[in-house]
Amino acid sequence: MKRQAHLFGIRHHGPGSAALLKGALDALDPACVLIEGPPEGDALIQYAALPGMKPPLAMLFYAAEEAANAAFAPFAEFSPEWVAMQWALARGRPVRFIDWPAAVSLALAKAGREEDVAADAEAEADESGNEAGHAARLDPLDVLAGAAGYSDGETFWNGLIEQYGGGQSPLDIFAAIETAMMELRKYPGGYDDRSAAERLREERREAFMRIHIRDALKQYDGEVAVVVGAWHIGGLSTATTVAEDRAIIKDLPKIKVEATWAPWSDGRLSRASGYGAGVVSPGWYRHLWDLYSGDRHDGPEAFAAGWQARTAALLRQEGFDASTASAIEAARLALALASLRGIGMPGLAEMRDASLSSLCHGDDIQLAMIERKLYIDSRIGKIDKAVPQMPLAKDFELWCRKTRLKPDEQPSEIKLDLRSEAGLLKSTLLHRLNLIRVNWGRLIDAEAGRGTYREIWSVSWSPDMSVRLAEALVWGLTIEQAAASATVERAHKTDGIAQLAELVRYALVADLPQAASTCINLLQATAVHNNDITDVMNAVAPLVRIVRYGTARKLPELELRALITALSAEANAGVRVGSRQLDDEATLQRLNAMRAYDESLGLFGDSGLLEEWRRQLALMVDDAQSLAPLIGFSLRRLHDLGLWDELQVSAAFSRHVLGETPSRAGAFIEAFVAGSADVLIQDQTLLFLIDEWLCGLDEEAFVESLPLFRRALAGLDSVGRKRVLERIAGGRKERRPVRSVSEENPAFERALPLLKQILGISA
Amino acid sequence: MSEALLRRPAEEIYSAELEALAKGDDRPRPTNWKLSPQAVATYLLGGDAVDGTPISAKYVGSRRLIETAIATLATDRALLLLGLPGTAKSWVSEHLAAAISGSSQRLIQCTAGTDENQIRYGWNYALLLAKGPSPEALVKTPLVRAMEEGTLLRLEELTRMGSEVQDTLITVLSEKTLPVPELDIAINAERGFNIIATANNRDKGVNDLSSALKRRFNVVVLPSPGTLEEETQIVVKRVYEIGNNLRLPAIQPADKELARIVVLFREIRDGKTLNGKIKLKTSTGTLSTAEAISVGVSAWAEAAHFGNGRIDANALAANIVGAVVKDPVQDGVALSEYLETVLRTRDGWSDLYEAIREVV
Repeated sequence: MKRQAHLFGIRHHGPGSAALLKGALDALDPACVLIEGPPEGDALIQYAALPGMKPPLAMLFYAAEEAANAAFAPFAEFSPEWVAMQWALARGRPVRFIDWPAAVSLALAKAGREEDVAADAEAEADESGNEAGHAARLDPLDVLAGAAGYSDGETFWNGLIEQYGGGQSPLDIFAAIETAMMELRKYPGGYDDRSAAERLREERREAFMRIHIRDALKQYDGEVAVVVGAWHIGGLSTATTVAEDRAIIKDLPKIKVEATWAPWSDGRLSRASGYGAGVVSPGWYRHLWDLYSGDRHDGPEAFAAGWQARTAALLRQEGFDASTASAIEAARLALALASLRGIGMPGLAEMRDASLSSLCHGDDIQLAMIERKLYIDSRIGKIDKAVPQMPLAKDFELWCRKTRLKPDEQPSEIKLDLRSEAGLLKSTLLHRLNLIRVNWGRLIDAEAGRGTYREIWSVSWSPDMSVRLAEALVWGLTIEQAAASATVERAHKTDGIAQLAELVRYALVADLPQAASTCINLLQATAVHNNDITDVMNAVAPLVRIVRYGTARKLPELELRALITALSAEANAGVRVGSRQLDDEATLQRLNAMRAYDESLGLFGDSGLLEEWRRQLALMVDDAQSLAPLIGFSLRRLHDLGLWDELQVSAAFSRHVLGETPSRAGAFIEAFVAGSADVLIQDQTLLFLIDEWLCGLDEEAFVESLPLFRRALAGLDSVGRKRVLERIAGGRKERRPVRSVSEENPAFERALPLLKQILGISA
Repeated sequence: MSEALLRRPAEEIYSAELEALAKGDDRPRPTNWKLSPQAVATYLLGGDAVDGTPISAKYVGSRRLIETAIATLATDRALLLLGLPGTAKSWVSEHLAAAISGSSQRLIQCTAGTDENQIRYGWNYALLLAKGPSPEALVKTPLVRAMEEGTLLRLEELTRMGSEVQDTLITVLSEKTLPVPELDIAINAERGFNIIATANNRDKGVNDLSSALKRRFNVVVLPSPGTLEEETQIVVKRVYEIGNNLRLPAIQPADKELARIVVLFREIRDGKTLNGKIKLKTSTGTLSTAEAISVGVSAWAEAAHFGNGRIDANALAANIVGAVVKDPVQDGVALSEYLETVLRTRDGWSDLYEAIREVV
């Protein structure tokens, strides 16, 4: 008779199936263990037995040419796959991965992306969301559990484990699962909502698995154990011929793939497996696993007590009053609830109800505060020193040595002098790491706005960052490469001009000229198509700052100047037409943007642009359709810069107040006199322009405009208002012309030429 | 005899259901329990008895909450039902006691005037003077009787009695014993004894639950009905039950009108319309489900005795105004705002708008 492999259908990351699997492996004692997973990981399996390997860990598969094309396969200590590896390694049995090669899946993913750029983001998320995540969505065991009346899959497994404890052989249970799966697969309409593409994908994967199983059966004499997601059992027990299988996988594309171990965290574990939908809770699973894997078989009492004790401890950490006595009561209640609901071991639902009632006095806010810590846990994996490091970690270590920075969890402050090579190098590293979300350092004081050469950073390392570093592999194999492509990727995703300008700045301080150029080009392209002048104006300010004050780094100055010129020209051209018909909030934003832009343009020092801008200001004042606050601002600038004389300003002022609706006139005046009381007090011309205009009104017009003034001056504080009043009461002071000074003081006259030279005033 | 009673206790009204449940109940029962915990759950939440007798749902809402409550009683922990006014706390407590102990009559109504003697025990002073302290001279309270017979004791509105009186319960709850120092004896509780207390977590100004006591209770918070459908279902069911029990003259079914009460109450209670588009002033009245039920019953009585035998807008109006307007100034404003901004323009509600305006 033909020899058969033993199929063990498991639930990914299910401690219940892990425990059952352990029992089954002990009972079967197979000569070889086959596990669902990409064969490229075969070489990595041996490291799993090293003492320094602390799950959660992930195997990372990435395309050698393009690291962005990557897939993670995470393992927790309670993952059946991890348990199977450990079992085989401890006994020196061969163990292998039998899923389709990552070379194929990543190649297909790449092809899919190129084919359909629109669905890019989705496809990527789908592919990099590992195999387990994929299976979790259609975990048939959860369906089975639901049919059996259990609230979730793990509670169901609890039941199975108990049966096993009650004398049933784990092999029999797995055989029963196999039968159930075959049955379930016969009714594809039931819950199977997979698309045709997904079906094809499954078929190909199963063909690979069957081929691997056949090889193993040929190679080894003893039993062969196959650990796969329960859903695949149906596909694997279908009788097919070698030729058929070969036909299915013929001509699949392949790319070169590298594989490596990377640390992982509980938070990512629950996310990758679709936390929220199936509620995968590492904290709870770990607790279950402790129960199953412990040497002595703890009863349900100890199990419930352990969990409630942990809940109580977390509550106390949050400052709630949760006594040991209450934890005991919570454990008893959980057990009573379990027996009321007819299950032998309390599940997560029973534990939660009991904690809520006994420990939290019915207040679910208390429970909500600790839920994340309790359910998800915060464990972070560690990798043994002997394991070859993944490229980014290697590069990181190189940088650390080069810059003499050491990852230390103790927060400390470092001051960098950017004029020294060492300081610049450190700053570059920290900036780059921030771009790939490894926030080792936080820039406390950049002073960059003033163009100084100092940076103060607060640095503190956390284990979580090694996980982020691993995740950053999708962007590149070195830190420089990863930071650059992360920046470019973000630039492609945003269409806000201000954000792009920020990215340009980030790229520059992180010394990524290529990425900066790309961002600059994108910014230019976006600006042309952008209708919102406010955005364009806001983008100019930070760029001008960079050019004007420098960043102690090499700058692509020509490009930047060209960009600023282009943006400014855009703003100048669009500002007048763009200043009609904005709602209140947009108007306010525009006003602020115009202020910043006006200031920046002055700093930039391009006279052509400046002249055009001022011409536009004048045009806006005369444009009847412009919004009142913007006219007020423009007129004020014209006055401040001395471009219009008093008469012109006064006429314009009068024109925009009299006969206008109160709201429009009020907004105009408000913007015109904006600033502190000091401005009004010092700028005599401005004050008396208003004063004289006001005095010249006839009574009706005066009464009409009074409330508007009240509103416009409401922004001043009471002291300021009083001082303005005093100033007006004091009357117009005739300022003596400056030259009169020289007439009276011959010493001053002698010093004048030199002073003029120093101040740069042409004589 | 009991036909003449104004309101019959739960165990009498539902005696047939309790009997049917007990007959087919072969699951283990805690000592002195009339039913197994599972059967108690079925009694409260509805379902079928083993012999097929349909069991009506006494509580409409979360199954998990009721299961927690029953499991609490099955351990020897006391149960505290917390909730806003009108969330069926006393109702659940009555039915739990009826199903578990067969009687919901062991009850102490806690008030500010309740003293320790009403909780623990009192003395028959004539006997005390004549014969001196003896067990015969002891006047037993419902607590003592419940302890001796191993039944449930209900404490209504626990927080309305002073906290020093509340503390009388501490030893009873933790050590299940009540010392009588005058006689140098202690009354020890039989298995099956337990306490169900109810308290309102909205009313401030009454005593807080002492923290020593709080730790001795498992707390189950009964929520307001989550959805409009759920609340309407509760109101309709209860209005018919109460009306029939009061022997109100039969009227035409009025589910639609009752649903309108619920909508109106929910909107004013939540301070916004159901679709969330209009913000409203809230009233000082609690406008709980229980009040909606009593408005429904009153409207029924009015329609049956003075109206045309049909609950219509006119029958509802006065009762609704009575429930909403507790503070004549503030609530009057809230109601008239609601009338003008919501009811006036709502399709098919113009009759109610007119009727309420007339009353106001």
